[in-house]
Amino acid sequence: MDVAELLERNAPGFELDAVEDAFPEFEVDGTLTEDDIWEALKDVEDPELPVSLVDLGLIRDVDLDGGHVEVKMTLTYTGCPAREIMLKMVERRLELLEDVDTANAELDYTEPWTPDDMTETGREQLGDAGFACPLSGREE
Amino acid sequence: MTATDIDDIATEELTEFERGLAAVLLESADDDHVMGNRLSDWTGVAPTVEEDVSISNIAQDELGHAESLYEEVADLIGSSLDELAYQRPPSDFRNSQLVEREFKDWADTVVRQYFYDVADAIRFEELLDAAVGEYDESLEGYLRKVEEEEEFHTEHGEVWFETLAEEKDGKEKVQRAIDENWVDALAFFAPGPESVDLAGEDVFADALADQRETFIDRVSSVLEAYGYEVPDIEVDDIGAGRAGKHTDDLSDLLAETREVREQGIDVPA
Repeated sequence: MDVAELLERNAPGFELDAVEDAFPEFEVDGTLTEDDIWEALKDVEDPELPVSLVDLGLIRDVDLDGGHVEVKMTLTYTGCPAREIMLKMVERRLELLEDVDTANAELDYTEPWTPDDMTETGREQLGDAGFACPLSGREE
Repeated sequence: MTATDIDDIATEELTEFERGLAAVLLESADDDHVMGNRLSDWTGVAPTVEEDVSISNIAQDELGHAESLYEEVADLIGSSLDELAYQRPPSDFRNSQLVEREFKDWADTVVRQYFYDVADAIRFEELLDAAVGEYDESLEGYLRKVEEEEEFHTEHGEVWFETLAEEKDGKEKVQRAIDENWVDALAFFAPGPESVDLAGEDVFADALADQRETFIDRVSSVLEAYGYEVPDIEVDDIGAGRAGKHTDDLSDLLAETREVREQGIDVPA
């Protein structure tokens, strides 16, 4: 199995020359805002889990400045083997948006991740996929 | 032979604090890189299936942390993961000899994994109790998270000390491994090639000599609880690995990790 092919299959958007339809169409209503960026990032899933990086609580900060987006994200586990892939997927997803020229994603551990950071949606998706989720239901 | 000074690898101007911090993080990365590779020798052939999973998990932790620690060092000094992990000669590695030799048997593995993880935990506590948080909050959060992720490693070692103490044979083998690895464990707390005063610069909360005493205290209480003897060996000038002096086992291990790359196969990420 070719490495690039393997990555492309498991992590859409990793191969920068890959097909344009790695992510769904994203319609922006009016001027692009940071809320749109957060919404668009819901299309990027953890390569090992059927949950978006947003719902896992990994996206820490989004900064839109003209046509450039800076994203700060963290990881559930510091030794995560999918680190580089996820950073690239975030950049790729955002650069496919109209009105975004460049995007840069960086790691930030200022507030280390805990399971508390997951959204309700994220917890439900993990549960549906058969993962025991330590905090599901806790916020009810 | 002495390992190359951080200043000679760095492409950026570093403060005295940054030199010290980079040196400690590079030691930590090298230790994890080598230990992770060594421990993975047991994947599939550990004493029980459950242990196969445990030891492989510990190996994966060490390798994952090595990768991210190399990245932190690379950011700090202006280098790259690739250069640090794959392009330095063995004589530039700063890992302690405790982690590099091939494992003799299971007792040797249990003892070295335990000694290493106790020492590694002290290193992280000492960094977090010093000035790293004032220097870089994200780096502090990262180190704190790594520390949490490795908490179970020392428990793993303790369970085996207890289990193997139940039979005469096992106990003798563990005691022999303790005796054989004691000097290398103490050498974990030796200075690297840079003449940075790590405690003075507030990279570490305490000097290396004091950290070594913390290690002896912590390990002694566990060993004694299960009836093992703590070696009574005084050693001076034991910094072999930190200063770049290594056994052939390290060259062999690194050669193996570099085999694919050296055939010119470019593996992305």
